[in-house]
Amino acid sequence: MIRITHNMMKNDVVYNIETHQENLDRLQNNLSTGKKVRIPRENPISATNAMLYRTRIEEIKKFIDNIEEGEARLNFAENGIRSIVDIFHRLEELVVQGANGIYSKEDREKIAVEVDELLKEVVQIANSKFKGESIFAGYQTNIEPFEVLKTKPAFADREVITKVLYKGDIGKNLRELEQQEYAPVNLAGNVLFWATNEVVIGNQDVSNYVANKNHKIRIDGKEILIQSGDNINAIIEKINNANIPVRASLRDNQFVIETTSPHELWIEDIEGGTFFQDIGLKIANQRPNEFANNVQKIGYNIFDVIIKIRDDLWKNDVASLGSEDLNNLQHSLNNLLTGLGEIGARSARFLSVKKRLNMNEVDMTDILSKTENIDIAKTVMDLQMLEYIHRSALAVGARIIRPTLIDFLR
Amino acid sequence: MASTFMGIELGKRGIIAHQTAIQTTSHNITNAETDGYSRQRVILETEHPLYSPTLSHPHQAGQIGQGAIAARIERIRNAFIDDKIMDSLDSLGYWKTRSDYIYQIELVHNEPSDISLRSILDKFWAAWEELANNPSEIATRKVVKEQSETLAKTINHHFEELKAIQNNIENAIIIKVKEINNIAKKIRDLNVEIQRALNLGDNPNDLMDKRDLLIEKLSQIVNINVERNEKDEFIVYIGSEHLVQGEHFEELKTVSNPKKFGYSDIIWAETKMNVTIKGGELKSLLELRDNIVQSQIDNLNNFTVNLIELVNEIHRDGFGLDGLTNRNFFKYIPKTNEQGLYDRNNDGILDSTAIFKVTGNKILEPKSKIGVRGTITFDSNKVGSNPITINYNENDTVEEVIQKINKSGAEIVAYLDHRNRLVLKATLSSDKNNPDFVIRHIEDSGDFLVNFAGILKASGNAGAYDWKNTNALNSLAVNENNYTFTPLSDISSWIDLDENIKNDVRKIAAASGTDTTGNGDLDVPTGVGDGSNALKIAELRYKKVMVGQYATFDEYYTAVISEIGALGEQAQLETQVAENLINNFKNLRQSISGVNLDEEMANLVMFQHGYNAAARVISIMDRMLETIITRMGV
Repeated sequence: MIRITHNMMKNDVVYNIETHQENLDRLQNNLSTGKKVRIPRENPISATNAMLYRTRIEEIKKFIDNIEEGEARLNFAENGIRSIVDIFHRLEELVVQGANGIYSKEDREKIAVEVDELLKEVVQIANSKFKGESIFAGYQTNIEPFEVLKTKPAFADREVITKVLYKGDIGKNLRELEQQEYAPVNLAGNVLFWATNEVVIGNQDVSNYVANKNHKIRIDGKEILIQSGDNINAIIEKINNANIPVRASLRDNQFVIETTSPHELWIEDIEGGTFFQDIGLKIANQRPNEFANNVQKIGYNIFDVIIKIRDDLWKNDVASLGSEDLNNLQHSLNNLLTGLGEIGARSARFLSVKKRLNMNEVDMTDILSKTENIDIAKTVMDLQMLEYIHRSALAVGARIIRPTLIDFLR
Repeated sequence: MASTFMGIELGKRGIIAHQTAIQTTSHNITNAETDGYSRQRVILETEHPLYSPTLSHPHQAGQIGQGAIAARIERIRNAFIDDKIMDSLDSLGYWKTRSDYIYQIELVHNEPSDISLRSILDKFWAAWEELANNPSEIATRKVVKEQSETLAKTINHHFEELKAIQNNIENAIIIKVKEINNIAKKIRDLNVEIQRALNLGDNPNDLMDKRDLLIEKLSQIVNINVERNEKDEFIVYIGSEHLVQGEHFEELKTVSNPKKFGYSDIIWAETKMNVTIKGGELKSLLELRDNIVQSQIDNLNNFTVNLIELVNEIHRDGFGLDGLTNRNFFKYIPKTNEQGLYDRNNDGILDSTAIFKVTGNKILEPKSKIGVRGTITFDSNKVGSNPITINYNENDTVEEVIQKINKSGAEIVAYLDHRNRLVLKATLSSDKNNPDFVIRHIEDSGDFLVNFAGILKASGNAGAYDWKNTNALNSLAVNENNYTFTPLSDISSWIDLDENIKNDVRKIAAASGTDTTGNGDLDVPTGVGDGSNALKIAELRYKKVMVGQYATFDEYYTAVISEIGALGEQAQLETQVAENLINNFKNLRQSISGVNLDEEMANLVMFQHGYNAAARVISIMDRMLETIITRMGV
């Protein structure tokens, strides 16, 4: 038989009551915060999972932000391009009108004035800003990417735009849509506002050119390594195999490089290399779309196309209006529509990623809540059960501690 | 023939014996709640019988009893259970202290919640991404600055809180050592008193209870063994040394140890030898201070040094709105001088080179085969053991070699940076004789680290980089832009933004650039609308940049939290187990030594009756004498 003392009974009662109180405190805390895990020790695995879910939810929110901001930019660009497309449709009408023999020289001059106004509008749209940033300028968002040169040609009666130069660059403004999945939200002006392929023809005999050191060139943003000892044919092959819409070749021993889709060529010597300088295409410190003086550069941007239409109208050149100008207009329009198509495709991608992210966010929030939120019904039941046990313990305690032999001794 | 008064004498003895018994019972009753009290019992024995070999002897029945006496007062106690309780108390002290302090660490982390280092880190990355979206806006730059400052302050705060816990533990250790001395002194004093009483043939029950109680208190603080069997000496051991031996006690002392940031070691005051502490609160406190909290601080430092260096590394390659580059985003203070030298053994001579990170100058293709063969040798993790070697061959890809390095367990990790250059980076060192975040040895018998990745100038032992050489930097094939010196220790305590960035957010390098000269440094910015450099910084969160032995920041942080959570969980469980065990043993002891009031009351009634009866004996004797004196008189 175990000898039981009053202290033992008291200790047991106190220990049990204390344990219950501790558990009651925990349950009450769970109920009042709604959380299962207050500190990592209560369930290290849930705690770390909850952390990861929270991080993921924050991340998704940021991605959705990125996408929505990107969509706004794309929409803005789309509206700009649509306006230009409308202008081009009007231009088409005007050119057809101008090419019609029944109109007089004076009529054509009047049309020319309207075309000039349309040109100004196109330039304005091409230089438009979203939140203070030029959207068609690549990375040069703080400048107006299209710079106009004005002179007074002999056939005109006023100073007009005679050249529009692209001063932006080919930078891609990337947005993160999902972990390490990026998409650009801008279109560079050197692609969007180009009408025709561009051909650049050197004027030096480069057939004997051999590279004398390892260095790099960059074409349309793609780096190409030229190794010491590469001859001109090897270099041309490297350029043609670089998977960019550019083709290089030798024509009469002269270096020729042309684009295979309408855009302005973008070539640079980098990392101390001098290839383009060596073959006479460029001189030092030129912008990537500028070339040495004696280099022949053939190709139109859409402004050139409009300027030519205007000048042809002024000059009363009906033949070129009807053939070349109409043709150029068509090219410009095609390229603009391609740009629109690209924006549409990107918007569609943004939308689908956003849908996925939204669903993912719901799932993550759900699983986070399952990980760290209490099941209220169950917790309340647990609490009541515990309360009941606690009550019994108190009742029993009160009962066993009270009577002793002393009560029955006189 | 018996004396006339013998009966009175016998009655008196009965009264005295029962009085003693009643006194002891009262002592029991009044001490029923006294901590450490063991019930006492009066052993009643018959008094030696009157032996009277006289003439009358044959006519009388043999040996007349002389009544009862209280022979001795016994303490009812089982030393075996005491030893068991002592063992469990030692483990209770250990786990409870551990659990309490780990709880504090868990509170510092404040996970899982929306306000923690992790959530601030999330916001930090998001701010960079927002900057990448709007690189030319001053507002988003300000957000990056503010978020980064919040992050730096949070890291500072974490560090200070952890340090405060560590300092509290140090104080607790000093107090506990004083307490041990105090208790040991009291035990010594009690030993003296007890011995004196024993020599007089008494049972010093209450003194022994007191001593047992002290022993119990002591066993919770430190693991002790008690030798009770020695007749004259009561010995308390810590490990194999005695703390108290009879009338002697050895004092413990704390001395500050400069190798442990001035924290105290515990030594024997007389011999100056270290005290072997294997359990109890003290062991727990020492472990917490030197391992658990220290490793938390180390981890925080590791996190911080990687955050600072990886952000700075990309930031230095980027361009601010002012078009300038090569600026740090976070402040960086090396522990070395400008030549990368520092004093390893505090003798006043700059004797070692300390670099944290070195980046090769060749741009590599992660999936391409390396086409060379050889063996990379790194320093071992423990001073004096064999170096770590990593073999690679022609068919390995760059990625595979990096994996081999990271799996080798060496305290150097490898990754490809944002420009796909190979980086070797030091981690925390496991052997505290080695400094943290210092690359100790790089050697390659083949060409991988040499011409392929462009880190070392030459292969083989002759071309090796070793931190013990003061001219070690000469063996590197790269210039000062490509290595980072080891930072001043406790980087989390001084993390802050670079002054440039603090003063002008336009200097935050969101834009990338082009290398026009070919020296490997980007020198011409791309433009104000370029946020690609900021995007690269935001990308760090996913990149396998090797934070210590963990691949990513998230992975690292999660590991730290789950580790402390698991430690806390274990400590709490073990505390409960020990508490239960002690409760059971204490109940067992109570069952033997505890006072049962009913029992005592019953005894009291019994002894009272005994007393009354003995008194009655005297009054009977009185009447008998009266009969003789008054009736028989003249």
